[in-house]
Amino acid sequence: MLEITSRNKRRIAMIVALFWSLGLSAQTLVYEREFSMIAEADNTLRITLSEDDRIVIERPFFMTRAGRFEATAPAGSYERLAAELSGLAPTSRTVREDIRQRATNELVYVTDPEYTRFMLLGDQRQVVEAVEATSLEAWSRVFTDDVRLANLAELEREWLDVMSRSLTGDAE
Amino acid sequence: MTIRKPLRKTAFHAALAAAGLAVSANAMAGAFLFAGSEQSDGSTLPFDIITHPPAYFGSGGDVNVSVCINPSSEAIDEMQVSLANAIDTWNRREPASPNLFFGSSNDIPSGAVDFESTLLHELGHCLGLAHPNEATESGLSPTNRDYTRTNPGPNRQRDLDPGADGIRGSADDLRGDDINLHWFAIDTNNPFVLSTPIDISNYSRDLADLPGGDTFAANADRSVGAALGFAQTEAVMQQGAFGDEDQRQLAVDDVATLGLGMAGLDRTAGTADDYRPVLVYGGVQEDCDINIDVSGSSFAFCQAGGQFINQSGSPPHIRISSADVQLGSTSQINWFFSVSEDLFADGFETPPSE
Repeated sequence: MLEITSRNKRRIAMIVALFWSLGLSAQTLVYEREFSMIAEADNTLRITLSEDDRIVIERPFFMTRAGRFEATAPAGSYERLAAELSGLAPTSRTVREDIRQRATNELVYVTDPEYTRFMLLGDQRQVVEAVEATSLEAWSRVFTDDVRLANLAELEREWLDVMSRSLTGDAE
Repeated sequence: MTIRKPLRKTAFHAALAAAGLAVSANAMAGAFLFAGSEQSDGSTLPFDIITHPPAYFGSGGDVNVSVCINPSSEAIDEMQVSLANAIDTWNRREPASPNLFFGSSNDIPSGAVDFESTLLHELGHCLGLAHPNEATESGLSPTNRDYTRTNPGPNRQRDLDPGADGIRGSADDLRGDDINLHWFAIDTNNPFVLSTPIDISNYSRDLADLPGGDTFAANADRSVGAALGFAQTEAVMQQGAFGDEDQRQLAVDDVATLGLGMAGLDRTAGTADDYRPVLVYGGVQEDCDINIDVSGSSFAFCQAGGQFINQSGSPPHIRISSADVQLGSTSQINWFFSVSEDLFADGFETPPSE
């Protein structure tokens, strides 16, 4: 049994601080956009947002400002995006299949699908919450009466806005 | 971007779709949009659907397809040459081999994506063509997306075995009960060699029509082309683009698939319902047959609506009733816009005489 001495307390505090600094002790939000028409491994935009609003942006080679960036997101970004994902996830799990079948019924097609993944990862990097959607930008304009699509598309826009503001240093 | 409401399915359409369940393996259709798509009731649209360009209603002759740039689009000036070239390429329908150029063999900077090549691909979708390969819509892993396009078949999963040559999408693939959606040349099953006339006398979707020894329809993937002696060649409609890649000329498979549609509703070349698609640039305006828009966060797609043409015919035909191409914003995608117009000299909307 570990004896809690003042020395141990300092060690524990240091370890906790280290884990926090590495982003390993807290949950993180992840947004991924797989541009699957690009047949190379580097085809995914990935944004990782920590509880303290630290943000890591990885932009694939074919995007403007390609590369990896670390910045501070606008204050409250994590809290807001986490809350929205939590609210959307239960009703959005079947949206991909529903859209696919409805598209066939109504004879409408969106080619070259892109995959968006919204994820909440736990402190062990396990997936706590996840929603995957296909070609959100396109389908949300086709099926404007689908509230799930509209909400997911709005969540995607918010993620991209957070990315844009973080890249430009507009984190107010 | 102008988004038109998709057409509602009529009772007739539902009946056609239901009939699709009973369609035999004979004379089925190939890599066309909508063919074999699954509906919410578990049925599929007929596998033998051929999808035609906008403005084709079943009558022969020239079918003019207007292509415009949305007034709200970015890069209107920058895309002019790329668009002109892409229109000209589809109008000429002249296959080339090789048609893939990399590095110093093209004018595309490293890290950039060729706008013209991407637009050429999306225009093909807007003319009714689907991917010849399984592509991303199959949900397969990247390495398996090169297999020939299919419906999963009765066992509800795609059966994937590349055969002895180890090449996915080649003629010795073993695909179990997967339902082939790719038209192939009956005499060769070689997607890099044109069989004429381009109609159902030379092309089939029925695996029983394969040449002896072949087990599945080969598609025009670059690895298949290399094995068949057509290096650096791939169908434009094959999904899968690379950085610094120039693919601005059609391959035989692109010409063959569009040509099959051009044989008309009877699918027989040389008859009255044959047509020639003529893409015509309509300038910067809304509500054309195909509308181009550079904006948003997506990479590239064509959003197409469909409408059945032959309400009493079998097998069924669809025409594209609305088509919008969106390519990603220049603030997001590092596009390379063509600057050379050397592909054409006499007006890019002028098709060849055939």
